[in-house]
Amino acid sequence: MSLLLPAGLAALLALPVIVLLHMRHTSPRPKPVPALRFWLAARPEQTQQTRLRRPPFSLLLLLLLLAAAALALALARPAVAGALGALGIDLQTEPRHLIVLLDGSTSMAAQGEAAGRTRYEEARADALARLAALSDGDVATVLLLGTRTATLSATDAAGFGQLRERLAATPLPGGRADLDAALGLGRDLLLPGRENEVVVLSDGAFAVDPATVGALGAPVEFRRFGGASGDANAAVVSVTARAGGEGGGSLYARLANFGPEPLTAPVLLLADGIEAGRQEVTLPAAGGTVELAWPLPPGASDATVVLEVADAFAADNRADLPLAAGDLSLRILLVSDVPSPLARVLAAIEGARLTVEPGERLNDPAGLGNHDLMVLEGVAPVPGVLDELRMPLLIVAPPDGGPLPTDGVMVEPEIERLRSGDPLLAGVDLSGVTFGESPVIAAAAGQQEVVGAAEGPLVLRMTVAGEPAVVLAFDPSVSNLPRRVAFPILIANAVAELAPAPLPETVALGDPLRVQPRAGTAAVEIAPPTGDPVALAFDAADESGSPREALFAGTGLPGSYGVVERDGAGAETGGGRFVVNAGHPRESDLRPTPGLAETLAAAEGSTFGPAGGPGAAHLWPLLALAALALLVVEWLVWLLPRRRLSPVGAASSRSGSGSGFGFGSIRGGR
Amino acid sequence: MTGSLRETLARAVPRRSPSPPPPAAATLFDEALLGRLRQMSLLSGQIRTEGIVGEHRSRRRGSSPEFADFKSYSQGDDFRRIDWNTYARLGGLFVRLSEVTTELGVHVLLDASDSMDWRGDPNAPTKFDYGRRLAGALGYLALWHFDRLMVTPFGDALGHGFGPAQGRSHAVPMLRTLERMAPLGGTALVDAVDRYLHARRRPGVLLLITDLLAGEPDDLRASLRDARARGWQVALLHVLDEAEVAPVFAGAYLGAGADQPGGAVELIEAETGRRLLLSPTDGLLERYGEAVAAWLDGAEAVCADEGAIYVRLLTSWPLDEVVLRTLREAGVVG
Repeated sequence: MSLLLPAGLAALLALPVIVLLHMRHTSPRPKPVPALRFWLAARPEQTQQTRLRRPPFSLLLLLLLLAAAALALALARPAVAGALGALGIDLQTEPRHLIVLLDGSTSMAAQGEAAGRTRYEEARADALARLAALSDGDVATVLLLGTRTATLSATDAAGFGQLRERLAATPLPGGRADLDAALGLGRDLLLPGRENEVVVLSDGAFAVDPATVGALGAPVEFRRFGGASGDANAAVVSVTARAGGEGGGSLYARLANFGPEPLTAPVLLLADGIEAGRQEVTLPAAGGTVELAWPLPPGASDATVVLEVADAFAADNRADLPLAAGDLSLRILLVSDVPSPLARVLAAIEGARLTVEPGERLNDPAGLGNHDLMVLEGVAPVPGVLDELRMPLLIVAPPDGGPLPTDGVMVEPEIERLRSGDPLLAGVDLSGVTFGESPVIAAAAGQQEVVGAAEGPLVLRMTVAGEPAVVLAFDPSVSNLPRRVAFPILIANAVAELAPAPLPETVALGDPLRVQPRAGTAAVEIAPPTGDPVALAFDAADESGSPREALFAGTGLPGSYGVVERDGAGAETGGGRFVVNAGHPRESDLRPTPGLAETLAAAEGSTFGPAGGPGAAHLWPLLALAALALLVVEWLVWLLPRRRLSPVGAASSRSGSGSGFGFGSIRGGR
Repeated sequence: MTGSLRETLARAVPRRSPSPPPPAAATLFDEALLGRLRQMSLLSGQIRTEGIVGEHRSRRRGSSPEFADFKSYSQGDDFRRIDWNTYARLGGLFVRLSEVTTELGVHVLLDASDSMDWRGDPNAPTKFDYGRRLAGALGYLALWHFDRLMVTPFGDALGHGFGPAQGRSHAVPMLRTLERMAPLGGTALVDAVDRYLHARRRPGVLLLITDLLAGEPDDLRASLRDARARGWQVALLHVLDEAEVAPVFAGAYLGAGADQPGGAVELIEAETGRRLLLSPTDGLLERYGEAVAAWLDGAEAVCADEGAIYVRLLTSWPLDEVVLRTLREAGVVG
């Protein structure tokens, strides 16, 4: 038996209060009597003047206490699991609203209790059984928790059947579940006038905010689905690579062991499916991690790290990493006649492909339009070229006579104005920077100075030929800025502001992917490892020049995701892929969160025990009836002696039978 | 009537009307009751009757028309009372004897203390009302049979009552006197009885109507003994209310049944105003009943020892049936 509202037991405090009230001497009622002598002789020895007296335990008091106790228990809303239902007693008095929070996170793909079944499949079977127990008038809501929470609901018998069929066909959505958000959604879904029950079916490997649980307003039943082999698991939780000159670069992997014992297992590096490295590693227990580094063979397009161990969750024992990102990388065109540190900085930007062209190439711009960003370093395009190419510009050291009108030069400019908080200057320290002779950019409409000297701006943003542009008025070759760390940061900030973000090689499990299409892209299709592609549509670029972007949240399934960009006519303009690996520092940790069950049990009216659930019968109606019956009996017990004692009743009894008054010690007579 | 308290309470009585009693003047007596009373008379017992007006048979023989016996003529007899018919048949002289009827002195002492002016049930008469009705009935009985009647109330002292009077014409004044009687306050039972007896030279029947709530029963023993020695026939008519003798009725009166010992009550003694705070419980009521029973037994024993008639009467008993029948059984009326 469980108590849905344990706070109701506070009503048991009425019991001592009732006893105290009976112990209290009430205001005496004056009663004239012919003589006190017999009362004085009958009076007990103890004084009657005390405020409280010995508890006058009597049948009336006992009945009253029992009634109060029954009412207090009824307020606590006790429920038993089907025990009364087996006897044919149905105490379900209100229509139910069953809210099932089904954990669909990646960790639920781990081995379940039954061989060959995942925890998600077992939890889903449990949810289906609960839905099958509903009847007309009830309402069912299933919240399938993944990176995105899907909501399924039904309100009648036919709907329940359809809901079960749909749920039975729903695969594991994967990703990381947010139980707090799901509970908040469940709270919004509570229906008045119904008996709301929230059931959480999960492996328990997530945290929950007690405040959220406390504000839920409905009892929560938590059923955990673990594995027959326990919750020990090891995983490759992170993998990345760094290009390295002519060679293949290096690959870095982080492995974690969430089991209770240290784990020693071989780890393999596969390059394009061919073993490129192997080493034995020992992973510390209880979340301990080990980081590995391998040299990548030149020319490899894919790398895979495999942890050869048999544990509860096999999917996170390997992690893939595409080394060739496809044609969705950031394409930067650098137009410069003099190689400079700027070229090295642009080439180092992650996901960027740099093309360097001389200044005279702008005289014939054919073939230059398929870039995401054009950097003009000390060159001035012929008029009309920029209107033809139409791409964001990073203009460095603009020469006199270029697209930017100048008004003289600044011989030794010093920073006097600085736009605080500007994203271009995020992480940029310009103290002590010298700029050398720089042109004074004439003021124009739409200019925004970011860094300025006394004579004019040094760094500004503006619009050139209808495209956003960032201008570095100084020449890096005569400035000491390229020798400072502030320079690559400043250039990276400018590139991030002007160009769309490149497609990453990997995305953490469940993390949303921010997609910024290139110019001319109208839609992006993302094909997950299983299921249909998801199309993300984009509007045309607005006048503000802010980058277009959309979020793709369906990264819950581990595997390779294909990305295709299409123009307004539907033609493919580019493609690429990224990988989501199952290994994740949180999802690979299958250990239940300590205190989760207790936290959920703190919800109002929680919780059924393991035997509870939809079949639970409520006892409060029986207890309320019992209390009422006790009160009636107590009233009769109180009333009957008075009726018999009343003079009229007494005379009646005597006249009827002639056998005396018929009471106690004076019963008898003739 | 004598007997245990249980027997007293167990006596079958007709159902009492639940309606409140009408005013005393209208209910003290009615014609039906008076008609029944006329068929009864007070029994004098061993009391020496006197006079020649009454209707009580006397051992004295006289010249009344009521034939009693014959006796042989002896010198000195009135020769006018010689029965010549007998002489003609038997040849001997026989004197015809007649029965002389005498009058009986009936003294009603009515307890008019405040303790008598109490009832445990608003539908029942107070003990004082009941005593007045009883005194009126017995007084009417005496006057109807030409007995000499005195009705005297007493409280702390003897009050002004009725009589002495003789003859049926005094019945209405006697009843009106009773109707006008009011409680006199405290009680000095023994003193009142002693004063009354010593103020009377000729003994008679003393009908003492009281609730005996003054002193102990033993206190009355000397007075009863003295009255008996002086030739009085004493009948103690003990008037009681159910609510003062039966624990269950006492509990009901106090508003707390035996199963509800919750409410405290403050008892106020009618005569003295003394107060007592207590909570009626089963045990208390039981002990109360035991104390009352012992007191009643003591009163009955004292009367039995001293040759007085003891009759216990409850105010719930109808006067015309139960009480008169009880008094007849006890030998007070015949």
